[in-house]
Amino acid sequence: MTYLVGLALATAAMISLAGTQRRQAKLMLSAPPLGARRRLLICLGFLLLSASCAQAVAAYGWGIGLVTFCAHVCLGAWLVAIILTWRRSNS
Amino acid sequence: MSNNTGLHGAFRQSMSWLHTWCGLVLSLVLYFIFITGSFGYFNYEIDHWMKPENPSISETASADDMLETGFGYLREEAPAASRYFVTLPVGRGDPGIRVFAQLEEPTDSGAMRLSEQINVKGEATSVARDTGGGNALYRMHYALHYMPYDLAIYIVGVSTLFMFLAIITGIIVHKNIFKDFFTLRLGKGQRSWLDGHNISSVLALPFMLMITYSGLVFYEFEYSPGTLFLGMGVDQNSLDEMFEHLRPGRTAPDPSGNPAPFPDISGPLAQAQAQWPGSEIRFVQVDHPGDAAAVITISRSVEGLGRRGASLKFDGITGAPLSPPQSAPPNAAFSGAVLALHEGRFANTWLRWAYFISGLLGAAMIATGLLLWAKKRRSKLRPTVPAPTSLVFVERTNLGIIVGLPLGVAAYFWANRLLPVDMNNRAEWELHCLFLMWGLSFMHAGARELRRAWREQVALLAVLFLLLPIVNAVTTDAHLVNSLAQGDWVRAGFDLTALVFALIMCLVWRKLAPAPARSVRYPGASEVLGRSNEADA
Repeated sequence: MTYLVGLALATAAMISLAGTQRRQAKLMLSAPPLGARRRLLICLGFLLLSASCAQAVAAYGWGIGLVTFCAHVCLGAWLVAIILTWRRSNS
Repeated sequence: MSNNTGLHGAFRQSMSWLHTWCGLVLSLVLYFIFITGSFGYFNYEIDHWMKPENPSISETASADDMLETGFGYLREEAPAASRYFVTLPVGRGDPGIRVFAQLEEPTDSGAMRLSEQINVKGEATSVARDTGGGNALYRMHYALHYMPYDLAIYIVGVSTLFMFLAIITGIIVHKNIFKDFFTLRLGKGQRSWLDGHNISSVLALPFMLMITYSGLVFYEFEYSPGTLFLGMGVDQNSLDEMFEHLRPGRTAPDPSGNPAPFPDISGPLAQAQAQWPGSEIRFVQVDHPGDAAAVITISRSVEGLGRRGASLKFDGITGAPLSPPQSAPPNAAFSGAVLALHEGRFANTWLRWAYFISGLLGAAMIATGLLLWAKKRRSKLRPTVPAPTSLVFVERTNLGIIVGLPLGVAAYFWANRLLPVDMNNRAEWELHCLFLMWGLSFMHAGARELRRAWREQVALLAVLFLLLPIVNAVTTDAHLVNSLAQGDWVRAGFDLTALVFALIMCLVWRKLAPAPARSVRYPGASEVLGRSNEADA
């Protein structure tokens, strides 16, 4: 369960950050976010990444926690990439 | 100034050239390292599946009882030994107590060691078939096969260095690293392969950097012997001194020559358990049993980011704790942490899967890079001009490398179930089957029309993995239904993973363009790997 929380946070962070990119945003939102909304998404993304990191470190200590965080970020990014690829091929 | 002109452009172009050739030249070895190394993260689990005679769930008892049983067995079977070693079944893939003795005189067969697996009753349980298991796959990722170990580690070292260069130059070359971060556009020919190459490397970049760098650190003294000899000299005493400095407490004292009773383990064990509340005792080692200079070493399981668990030493006669060894110097501690990251011994099931998937992504990165190289050169050719021999050779070799090795691994698992259990050199023949299948894959790729060859080999791969659980069910009792009923998730997980992999291969097979009625335009073309041939043309 602890792992799933960390992975969910990292995936949410990746979704937020993907939403700030023009190419990905077209698939996720009706229009690419601009200005303050884009900055908000960037802040939210990094906030969620920090939360995922803090959660992993709190659960497993600095050594294994940071490795776990890296794994969550990689897997989260892959999940987002797969979802976006699926959306692109269906759009 | 444009990015592609001037000093900036020239630098990027040079890096691009270096990236391409570093990745391409030793891609066969690198792909082999990544595939076998990825399986290595589940070496004990694969071992368990490949030894169906072993019990599903190991019997356990208290640490005291199991140690007494283990040392009792060793004293009976190997009374004259310089070292006893008993490992308790607390980790993954340990079906029983493992006992080991370093003999003082060779046995009838010339062996200088006794290594056995016993159950809690003290009975040998090594009735399992002779198999390379997961460890053979794991070992091949750094020692290769059919060649001397010393040569193999240098080949692997040079390949790893090339890989490291390819990764660094790849980061420099990749202009839109953030823009393309999540981008995988399917069905766009060459662009799709580039996306696949980028996404498989960028999303697992921390792993790629860590695994290649730490791979070089593993053989730091072999790869940079000059540093060692210039710093410490070439005589054995200097080297021993240095290793004692880097790994304090590893060397055992010399025996006294005065006989003494066998050490009592219970006192030191109680002290160790009191010092490590909540930790599991992993192994106990006794140096010079039956000698007045006997030393007992008790070690616990790995905790945190480490390669080995902490250990305590005790006097074998009095049971008093010996002064703790000095801690390792910072450089050795750093090296230990880097190696621990590479091996992932600390990893639990979840992290182990992350390691495994990242390793396969590394293999995917190499595979897509190879295909991209061929694709680019193919797209530059005019349709009426026949492809140069070198390009055709690379295209066919790509198939042998990319699909052939997984086919070989599948054959290795099949051989484990189909070769006669009492066969001589059985473990070695399992590996021969792997390489025979791999060789056949290259021959098939060279003999068949390439488009068909891709489809046929991927189809065969899907079939081999799909039938693996069935072959397992036909030849053993350790099949999926039994494993699930007994709660043996390791064996069941292996069968289920084979089925999932077969399913993925079925999807890949469907994605491959159907073979045309007759060969057109490009004999031996590489664009068979997508339905977007026209997009490139």
